[in-house]
Amino acid sequence: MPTLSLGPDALGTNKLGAQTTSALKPSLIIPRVLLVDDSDANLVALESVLEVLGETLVRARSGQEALAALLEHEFAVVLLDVRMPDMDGFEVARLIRQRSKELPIIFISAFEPARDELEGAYNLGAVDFVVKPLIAPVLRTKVRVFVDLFRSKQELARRVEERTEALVASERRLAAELESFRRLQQVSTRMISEENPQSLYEQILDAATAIMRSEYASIQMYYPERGPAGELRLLGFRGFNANAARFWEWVRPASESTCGIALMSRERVVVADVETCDFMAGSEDLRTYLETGIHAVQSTPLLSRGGQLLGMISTHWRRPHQPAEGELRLLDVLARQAADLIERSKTISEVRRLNDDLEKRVRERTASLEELIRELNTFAYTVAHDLRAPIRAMQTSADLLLEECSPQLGEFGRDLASRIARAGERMDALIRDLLAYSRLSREEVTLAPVDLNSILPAMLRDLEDDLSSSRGEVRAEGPLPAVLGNETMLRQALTNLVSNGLKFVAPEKEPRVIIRAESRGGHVRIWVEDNGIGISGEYHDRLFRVFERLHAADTYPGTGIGLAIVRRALERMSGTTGVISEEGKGSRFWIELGGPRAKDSEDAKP
Amino acid sequence: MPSPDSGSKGSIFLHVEDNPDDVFFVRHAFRKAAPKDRLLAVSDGKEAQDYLLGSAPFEDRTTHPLPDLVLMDLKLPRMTGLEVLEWMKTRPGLKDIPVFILSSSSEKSDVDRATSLGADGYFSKPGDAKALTAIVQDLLDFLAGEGKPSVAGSAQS
Repeated sequence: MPTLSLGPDALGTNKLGAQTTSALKPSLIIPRVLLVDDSDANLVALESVLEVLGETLVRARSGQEALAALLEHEFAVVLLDVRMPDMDGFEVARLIRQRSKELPIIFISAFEPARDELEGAYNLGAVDFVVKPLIAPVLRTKVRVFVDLFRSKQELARRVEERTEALVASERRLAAELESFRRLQQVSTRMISEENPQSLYEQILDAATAIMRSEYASIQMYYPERGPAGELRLLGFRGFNANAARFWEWVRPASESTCGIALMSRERVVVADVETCDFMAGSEDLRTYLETGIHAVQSTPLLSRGGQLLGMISTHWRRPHQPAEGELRLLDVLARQAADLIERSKTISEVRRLNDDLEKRVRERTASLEELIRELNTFAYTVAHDLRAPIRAMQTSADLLLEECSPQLGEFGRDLASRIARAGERMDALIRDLLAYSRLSREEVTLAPVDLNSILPAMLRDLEDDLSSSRGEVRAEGPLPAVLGNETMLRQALTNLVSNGLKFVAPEKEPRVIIRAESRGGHVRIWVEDNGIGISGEYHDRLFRVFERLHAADTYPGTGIGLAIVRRALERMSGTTGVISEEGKGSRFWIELGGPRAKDSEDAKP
Repeated sequence: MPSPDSGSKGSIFLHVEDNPDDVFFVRHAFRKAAPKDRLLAVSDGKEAQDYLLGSAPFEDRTTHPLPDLVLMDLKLPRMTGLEVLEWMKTRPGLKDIPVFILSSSSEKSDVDRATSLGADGYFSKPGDAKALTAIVQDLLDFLAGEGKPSVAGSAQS
């Protein structure tokens, strides 16, 4: 059973399409003249008249022969004898008209036709009715008119066909270009978001092979610092074998490849057939091209906007090939974009490298600063700690002097001894506060709900001496809520605030301190209000700094650290503190902390 | 060097302290509060260890008897108070001797570590003579059995 094989050719690939087009190219048909007469003598006579025209003359001795000839050839004109046996001229003309509406028919008759005969002939499409005797020049002229007409029609048809073909080809080219544009645009979109340099090169290669319809492609990066004029390094390729990739890994300006030439000229180099290329002749490059199966190649430099050579993009074909202008224009668009992206990618990796470097340096600096802070804290702690020992010795000695040697000292001596004791006491208080302050910075802080009501009694016990010496009073107004904090720190902060309230009152006035709480959103603000001397607004900012004192030590004794401790304690508990006060009108200090339910979110904090 | 007090009655205290001022004030407080008791003093952790072991120069147990109570600083040369405390608790003959800490530190971490290592009490060094006498009285009370084994009544001073 015979089978029909549908090979690749039958599927109409591009190449087949191109061949088919050339096979269809119209060739001019030679104009023929058909002579129809039952008499050989008449035919010879006609031939002798028309021979000089140089056209091919075809004889037919009957209507049947004429119709058969018409099936075989196209004719410029038919000369048809009217009187013929079997089928007369009119009958033949009618049958001709059924096949061809346009073939000009000239009737030839030995007799002058009757009027109705003439009308019938013209109705059948005759263009002329010639009555013998034939006048040779007249007949020749008439026939030539129709031959020329035929030629013109043929020429016209050929032109139309040619134009049509050109249009089809250009349409096909446009479609191909459009497809390439679309591909370029798709690839561009992908490339723009591509930050990995190697993936970027792969995308460029894909785009280049698609645009240039090439089997091979390569992308090279320019290394200006290598050699006297820089070198190209192969970054990616399509279709190369290992040998080719190795051979072209580095390309010097002396290379006899297209990219080597383009490296020197900074312009595109196209070689449509490597075997006929002068500069390649006999070179290793040529050998490697052929070994790789490459017969045509182009290399296009990738130039930055400043005109600097960045790299090279090359495409290669299996057969000799001259890339189309449109394709090269598209390749230029791709090259422009690839150059921009390569520049950007270079900048990004440079920025990234700088960033990493910076981050590393910041980390190192932070680590060494943290280490320094730890050391300083330890140092401060040790110093403060060691300072207490001699102070204690001083105090205790002054104490013992007053207690056990009082009579020998005399009044002046006793005064001096008690001055020593008081000075020691102040210094000890100062160091204790400094230690407390530094401890606040050093210690780990864990936050938990703290019931303010439960720390109040302990606080009042700590303040017992202050309360009795000042005849002061502290009371909580309303129930106090729980807050999110650290019990030790919170107690220290509140003790310091209350202690200040008891201390800073006008002489002879009995201090009254009120503690109350206020809910503010998810937070709790605790107010410590006193009836003391108040603080002028201009000092409010300085109040919470270490060693800030607003009064002479003998008017209102203190270390100047109390409020700094409050602020630091609140900082460590993720809280805030502040004051509302006016000189002479008492002060309202406040601290604000998260409510106990804020714990979940606060846990995340260090 | 140990400096045994005169008199042989009463309890025997070993004071481990490197600061001569503190040795002086503690001795003074003892003279006032417990004139009958013996107070022996050594000036660093290693010496305390030698004394408690009875090694040279403390072999003679008549002049260097085992104490009824050890009062010890934390920051000491050669061997810290906490190290001595930890070591004592591993020695069968020594682990039952009550140890009190008298330190200039009132850091909670120090108090906690001393307590967890088995110290019977913790005092921070006071700045006046009366408070020191009160501490000595606490120690005497402890030995007399009416002890309020205190973790520092005055620790937070």
